[in-house]
Amino acid sequence: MNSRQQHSSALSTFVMAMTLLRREWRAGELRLLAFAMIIAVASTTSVGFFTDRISQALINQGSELLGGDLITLSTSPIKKEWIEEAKQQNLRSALATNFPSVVSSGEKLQLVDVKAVSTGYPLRGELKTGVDLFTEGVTTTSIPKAGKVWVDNRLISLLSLSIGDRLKLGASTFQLSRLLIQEPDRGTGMVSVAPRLMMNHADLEATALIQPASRVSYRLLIAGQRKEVDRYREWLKPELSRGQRIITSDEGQPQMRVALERAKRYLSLASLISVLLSGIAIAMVVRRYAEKRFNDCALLRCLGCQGSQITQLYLWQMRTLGLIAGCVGLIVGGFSQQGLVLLFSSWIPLELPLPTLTPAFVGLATGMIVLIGFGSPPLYRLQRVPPARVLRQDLGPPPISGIVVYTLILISLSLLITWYTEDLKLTLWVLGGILMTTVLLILMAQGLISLTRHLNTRVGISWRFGIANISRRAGMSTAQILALGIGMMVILLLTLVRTDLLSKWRDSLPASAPNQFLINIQPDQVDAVTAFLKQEGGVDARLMPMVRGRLTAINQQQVSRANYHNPNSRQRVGRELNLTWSQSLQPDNKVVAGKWWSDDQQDQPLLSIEEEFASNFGIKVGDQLEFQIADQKVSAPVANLRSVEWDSFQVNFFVLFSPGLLKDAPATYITSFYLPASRKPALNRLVAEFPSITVIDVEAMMNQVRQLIDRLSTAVEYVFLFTLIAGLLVLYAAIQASRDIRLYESAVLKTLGARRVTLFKAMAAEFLLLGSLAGLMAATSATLIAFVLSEQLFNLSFEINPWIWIVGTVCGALGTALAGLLGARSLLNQTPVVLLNS
Amino acid sequence: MNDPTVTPIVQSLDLCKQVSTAAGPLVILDQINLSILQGESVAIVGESGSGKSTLLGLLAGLDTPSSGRVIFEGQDLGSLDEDGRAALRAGEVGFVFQSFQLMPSLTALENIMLPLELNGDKNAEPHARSLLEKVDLTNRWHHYPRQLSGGEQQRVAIARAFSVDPKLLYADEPTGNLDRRTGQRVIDTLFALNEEHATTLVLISHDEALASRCNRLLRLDTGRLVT
Repeated sequence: MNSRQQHSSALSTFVMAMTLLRREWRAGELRLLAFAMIIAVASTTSVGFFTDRISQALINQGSELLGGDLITLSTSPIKKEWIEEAKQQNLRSALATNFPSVVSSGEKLQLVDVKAVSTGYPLRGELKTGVDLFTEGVTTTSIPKAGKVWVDNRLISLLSLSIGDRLKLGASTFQLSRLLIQEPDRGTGMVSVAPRLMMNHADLEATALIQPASRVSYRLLIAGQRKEVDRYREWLKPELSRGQRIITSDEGQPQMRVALERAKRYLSLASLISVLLSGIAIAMVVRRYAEKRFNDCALLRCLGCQGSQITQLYLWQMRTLGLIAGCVGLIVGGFSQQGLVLLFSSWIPLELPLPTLTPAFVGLATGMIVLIGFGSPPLYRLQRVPPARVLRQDLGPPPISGIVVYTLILISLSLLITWYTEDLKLTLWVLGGILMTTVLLILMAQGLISLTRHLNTRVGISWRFGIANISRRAGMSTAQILALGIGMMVILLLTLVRTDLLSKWRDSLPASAPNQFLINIQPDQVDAVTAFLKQEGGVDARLMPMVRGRLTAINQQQVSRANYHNPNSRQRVGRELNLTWSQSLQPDNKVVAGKWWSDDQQDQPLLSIEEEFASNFGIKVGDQLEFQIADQKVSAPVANLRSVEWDSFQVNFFVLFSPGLLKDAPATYITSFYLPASRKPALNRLVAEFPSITVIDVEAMMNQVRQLIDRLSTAVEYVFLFTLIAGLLVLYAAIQASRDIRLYESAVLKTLGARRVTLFKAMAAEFLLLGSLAGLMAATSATLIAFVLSEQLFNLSFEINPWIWIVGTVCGALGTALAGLLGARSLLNQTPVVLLNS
Repeated sequence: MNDPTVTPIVQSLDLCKQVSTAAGPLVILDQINLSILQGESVAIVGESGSGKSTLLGLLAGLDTPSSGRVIFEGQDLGSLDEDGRAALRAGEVGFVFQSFQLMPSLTALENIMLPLELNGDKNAEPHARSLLEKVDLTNRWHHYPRQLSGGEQQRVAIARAFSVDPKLLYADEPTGNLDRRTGQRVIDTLFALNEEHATTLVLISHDEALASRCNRLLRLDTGRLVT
């Protein structure tokens, strides 16, 4: 054939495919496939739209914690041109200038952390003020008026202030007009050990506090559309000089980052599972569809069709149908997520932005990848249907090579997983997990099926027939148990296991997580402070020593900024670190390499390093580190690396020494503890009794973190709802898979005189057994997967839930029997002639 | 009929087919030599299991022989692969099967249009409609196979077989699934169209009366040609 003929032949195949598609659609054959595709795309786009909107909302939430979408930190005043440029680019801007100063009220003086803000502050998040101590406060959109200031609880206590009092700050006098309860960006300033005073930026110059040598931190807050913010950032980058840097909402605090990271993993896993389930459902539907096309293909071969032409004929039908159904799925997905947003609007505490178009594209592309990857292999079999099948019905195409099927499925899976998770470790885990689970499930299914052969000795004829069916159709039963098992496994994972995991995650920040930090406790105050906390606050606080020091050498090699590319490491080089010593490992720390020191090693010089810090500096167990502490050099080998739960809010350190080594170094002590609101006045008495101690109240910040975790868990639950639907679709497809053979057999049995009740019992027995076997397998594999997920991915400890087995087996049996019998109801009521003719 | 100037449209040379079974090789066809000439109608008769359908499958290139050759229009089918044989059949060979083999998802009219459309015929529909008229099913054009009786389905299959005006028509027990009266009507339709189209006909049947309507009769007995 020349190229023109080839072109015209390809065209006529396409035209023919479309003609056939139109006719087959009308005949109703393809509707199930279209339905599967619609569900697949609808569920993935719903998940996509949700995750897109939720992650957009989370970025906004991140912005709330910064007070804007983009912050420029500077040690010199913010340039006017930067503000002008922001205005030009349709961005909102505000200024926040921080510096320490002393405020006086009457005779009393107090060091404060001043924050002068301009109109519009904060651009993101909420500012709350009130008039009474220890209240929730109300949200305000304004800032202190000229001549007025707002201060926090601690300053009120320290200076015994009340609303309306006058305060002197530098050359100006201000009136205290409100109490500052919550600032969105307070969390980013953990160093703010002094109480806060907020004033209007316009009053700043008159105070004459800012002099050339003053230690001032200038902030430019920017907010607007994401694209414009990104463009502004690109514009700003080259403008920055020494002492100036940009912070964006994706680089929050470590606590927030950990929470976001976990949520992203949960969400991508949720969408991934629904994609995989859709793939399984499509594979089952296409396989059944293809098997029903064997006769047609044999006929087409007789009529002179080429093998490749037959494949193209069906592939074009599948692609076209996939595309059309996919578009319908997009619309359904769009509506269903919007419907859910409306339905649950009062439950979703986050304000969700409009979805972008990306999930629509991703959803459609995902649907097509799944359709081609999972759906093509059965269609490739069609070109090998022998034409002699028109004469002998028992002739079928040779089974397609397993390598071809698995390679196609594996390629599409890898593509999808990598695309969805953007995380190589997770991709490998999931792929490996899927392969292992599939092999395990097949082995389990085959084992269980062979066991059923011994079951059928002492039961009635119908039960015996039903049970025998399982081993008689071993191949189909394996496939069915596998599909049912996977569907049920996901449902179990999503209901029981997910609840366990989510509640553990919520518990990882318990209500009693420390909300107060005390620093600057002198060694001679340790006993007195411990006793005070016990008596006044009812708190058993563990006071940790803290020594300041610099890391100077690793294995005799000087630590220099030039040796590191990682910005985190570069930033830390030469900085003072907080060092401590401890005899025992803290409960929220875990040794990940090496060993914790034993009792007889207490006097040896040894180090324990936090794992991320170690990886930033390339530190391994056994390395010799040297620290400069005051005027001394201290050197010790690394005994172990530790992981630290930074979101536990406990006091934690990058570098821990064995006891003894730092005994003579100048140390202060630090502690953290939980103090209920009712006992907060004790803090004022503490400060009065030990004036040198600084109290840091992290309650507001903790509430923000806790709220974020709550919101994320809710979001994850929504997303899993769609995965659940996909799981049910797989169950439906699995039950449908054996419908044709059941149809034929029940007709034959009826012809032979079997009564409806006998057939009903036989089917019930078969479905009950199939379902319970699948449920048993699902429970086992769900437990295994949950174990791997919680230990490896989410760093949560795992406990076995025995209910999974009971619920899995019983619900699996009843659910499958109910669905199967409902589906087969029409078979029981039909006359055998109708069944045999069809 | 053995006019040397008329070339055979299909011939078999030492054609054998055997399959392996648990009890050893089973010979289904043994040394079949036959020659079917352009325009003649040949009946192949025999008991059930005598190998009639297997022979038809081999002659039509639907199956491959264990040994021997089939020559169709001067082309050795053994030298062609599955696709090559399919290409040779396209538009040249028609089939009528015992079990009708209509596509269940297509209407009567669409089933007849199918081979025409596969050949790229732009006038498939009017052509198919005129054939429906000839088999007396004009009013049933929009019915699906499951809505038609056995006789009606077979008449649709006959119309489909003649739609591409084939040179050679294979009919495998065309009345095997039909009662006598319906079968008679189907056969009348088949022979009428065959005459009109001057098609070479190879008819497989165990019905001697039906076979006698053909020009020539070949008898198969346990895999061997006996006449």
